[in-house]
Amino acid sequence: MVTAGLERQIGSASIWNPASGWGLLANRDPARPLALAILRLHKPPARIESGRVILAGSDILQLDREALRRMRWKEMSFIPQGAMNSLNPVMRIRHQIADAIRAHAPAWSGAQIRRRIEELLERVGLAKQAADLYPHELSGGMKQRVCIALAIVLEPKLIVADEPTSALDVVVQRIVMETLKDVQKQINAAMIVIGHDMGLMAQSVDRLAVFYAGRMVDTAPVRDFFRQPLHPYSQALITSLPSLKERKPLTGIPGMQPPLFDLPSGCPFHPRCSLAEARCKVTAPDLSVLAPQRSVACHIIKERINDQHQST
Amino acid sequence: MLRLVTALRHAWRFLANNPKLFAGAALLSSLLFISIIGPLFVDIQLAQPLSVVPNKPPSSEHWLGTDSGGREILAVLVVGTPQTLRMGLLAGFLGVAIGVLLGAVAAFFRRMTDRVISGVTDTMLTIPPLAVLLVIAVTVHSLSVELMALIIAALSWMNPARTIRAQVLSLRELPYIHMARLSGASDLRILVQEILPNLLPLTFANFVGATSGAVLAGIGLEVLGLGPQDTPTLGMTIYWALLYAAFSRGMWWWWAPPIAVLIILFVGLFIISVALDEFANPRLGRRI
Amino acid sequence: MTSTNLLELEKITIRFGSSSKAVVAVEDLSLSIEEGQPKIIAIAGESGSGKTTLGRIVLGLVTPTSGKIAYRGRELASMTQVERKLFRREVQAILQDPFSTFNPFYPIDHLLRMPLKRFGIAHERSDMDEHIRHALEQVGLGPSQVLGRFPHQLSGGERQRVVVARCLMLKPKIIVADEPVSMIDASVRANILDCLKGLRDELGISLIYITHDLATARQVSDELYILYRGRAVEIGSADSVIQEPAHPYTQLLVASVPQPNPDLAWTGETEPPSRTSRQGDRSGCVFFARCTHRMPICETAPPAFRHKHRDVACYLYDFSQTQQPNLMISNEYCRSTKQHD
Repeated sequence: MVTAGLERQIGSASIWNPASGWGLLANRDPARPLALAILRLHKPPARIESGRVILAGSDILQLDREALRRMRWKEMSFIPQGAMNSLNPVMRIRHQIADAIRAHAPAWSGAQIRRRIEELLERVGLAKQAADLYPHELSGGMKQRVCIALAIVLEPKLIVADEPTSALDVVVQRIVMETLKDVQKQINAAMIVIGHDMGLMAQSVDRLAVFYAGRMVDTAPVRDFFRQPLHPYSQALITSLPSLKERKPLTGIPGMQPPLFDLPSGCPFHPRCSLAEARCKVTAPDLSVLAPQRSVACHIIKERINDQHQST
Repeated sequence: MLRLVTALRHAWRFLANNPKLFAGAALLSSLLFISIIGPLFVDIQLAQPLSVVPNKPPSSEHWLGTDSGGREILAVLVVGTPQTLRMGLLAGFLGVAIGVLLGAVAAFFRRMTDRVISGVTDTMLTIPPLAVLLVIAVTVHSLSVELMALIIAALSWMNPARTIRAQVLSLRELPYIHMARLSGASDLRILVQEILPNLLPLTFANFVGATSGAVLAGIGLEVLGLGPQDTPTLGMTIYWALLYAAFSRGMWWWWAPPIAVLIILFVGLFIISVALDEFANPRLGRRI
Repeated sequence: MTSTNLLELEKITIRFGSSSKAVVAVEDLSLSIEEGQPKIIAIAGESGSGKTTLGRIVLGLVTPTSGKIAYRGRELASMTQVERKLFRREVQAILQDPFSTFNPFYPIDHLLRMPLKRFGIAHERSDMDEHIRHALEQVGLGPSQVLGRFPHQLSGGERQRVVVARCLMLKPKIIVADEPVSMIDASVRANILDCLKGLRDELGISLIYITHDLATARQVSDELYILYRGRAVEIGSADSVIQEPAHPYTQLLVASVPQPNPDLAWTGETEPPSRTSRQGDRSGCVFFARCTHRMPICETAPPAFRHKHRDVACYLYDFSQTQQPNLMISNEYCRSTKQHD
């Protein structure tokens, strides 16, 4: 369990297979603390209260500072939101990548580093010459691809990408997501993508986890999710999406997401849920496995599915 | 009455949450205290020369002793502190007022207005204020507190003008300014109603800095003997002390008290400006 | 230019800076809204396309370098004080960031009271309160939720609704909505968009809806302008432009939108463009550098050609020159195999 903000439970991390992409869908931040906590990048007042984060056999939360530092970037890396702003504006791209390499693989020679930089830039579709440029000389999409290159420099097993395309135009977004998927395949890494664009998630990830009010409420393989969303929030979200292909009446979800420090009793979604019953106001539902690879946190849906199973 | 009490309570809570501001305000208040309450307990006539027996160290009769001119030091403090405070506050206020006006107008109206005002500002910045002050002081012979304040203000408005101009340049592009325009507000109304209030934190910070600078400039002149000859300001006291070799004569009670008051003043102003910086600079994480 | 048009933009061009390093934000753009025929025009484009600048022109916040803009038949530049005040009142805005729309120094009602006073609609406090109360009710907000509160005490969606209420109070004829929902929570967006449609249907207000999101543009608008580097490359009804995009850039844009359906292939360009257009290079078609259908004639800027009730600025649709009609370009960007599931 991870706690952030004013002591609210965030969610549980589960073990996943390599070379798969997870999407964490969240509007307005609840999933981000989880991702940061996985990498132990969270700052006080956030703190991890309990639980484990196991990556490649070792519990990250138990590592000491030096072991953690060694693990960072080699085993797990991070592409932050607004990555274009996390490049040092007064260093050439080449030096920034070399910096990352030297910090985590000090044994490499200068020639090795140079070769690796060229390789990396090629992998993300940038010309070799880009290495000698400063960040402000690159476009938004190019900067983001540099950040991807930085994240894969030591071929980590896990990449966490936090809204990797939110500041980019839709055409550039396509290019960057393609690069990300390519890169993931090439180095056989697992990827967690955090975002709020359902279309993007549908096209980029293998499994999706939906967060609401700081809790994971629905997880499923992506095709199953869009074909048959189970949690009422997931259903409402999908229905409220404005469609590009046809004219539909616009439907939103009444009310709004509660702030983390002022959650309603019981299930946090009950004030806005069309299925809400009395018990929803009292007890918060647990995330329960309702189908192979699918978990939902909802009393009513759980009941319905169980009934269905019993009647078959 | 109730409103006054709630207002005071708010103020108290505010101060309690901001220890730096509280400390600075406390220091300055103590000086104000001396200035306002002092005359009730101390006979200010004794601040005039030839009023008491000279060169006496602190005793029960004269708590801070007397100087070579026959003035009682405590009375001098009570008389001189408000003079220095007045000069600093007046100069600071005038300088910042001129600076805010010019800076805001330049940034808001841009084009020619900006060019002219910025040109004047930048040119005047190159003029060394202390040198000008020296020349004027020597020529005019006897500078009153008000005149000194005026001259210092005339030479120190440039910095506030520049900082305010920079701030207004970014403020004027904010959406709520466009909305005000779309609501039919005239340029002048936008400047006064929408922009000025958001300049308050910066203006106040500038004011504190300007006051501090003005006091320093004034002290600088006075210590050289160019201040008012008939009023025992803090700076002049130090001047007389130097002139009469109070240091070598071991008359610490003459030069130490004015310096102590000045230290309290500068430290108080400095702490307040640090506290204000915390409000103005969001990265330092303070909120009102 | 007919004087019966409510709003008329004719060949508007905006250039910033001196001629050698000039940045052209908008070039040769024309737009009109007729009196009595309210419609929602969507201006879609990516960042740098000039759409925000266009919004500012309509609002009278920026003067065009060339071209004419007229409201009720009178050119903005030559309006009298009275006419200008009327223009200000009848053309309002909903901006992108619901937070910085309000001056943080004052409570929310400050922005509501100001236009009432400035436009002479109400002067007494009680009078103003009445107007405000009525408008807030229309957007589903209780006066106690809003009056006296400061901007940071309301949510983004609530603030944006207050802005809509403000518009209602002033009974404008045209509202320029610049990305009104992009900073709002996804589940609340639909409500606000519905509200905007209601403005057209029930109150006869025309909207200029500026966005980068084609899906919302599709749902909300009647007419759609696709902007690229300051030029309108395709203009037509929202349905036809999105269903059958003609201009290569429109095709690229539509194909690049990720569909929330994993079975629909995500097309669009996956490779970064081999050539990027240089800022100053505007002699030919604005899309020249990235277009896969480049032809020699494209080195001169194409005018708008009429194609299936749309205006497309592309020589591929120039049927006047050639003997055989140019076939509709096969949409090679849209290679989806399965359509519906």
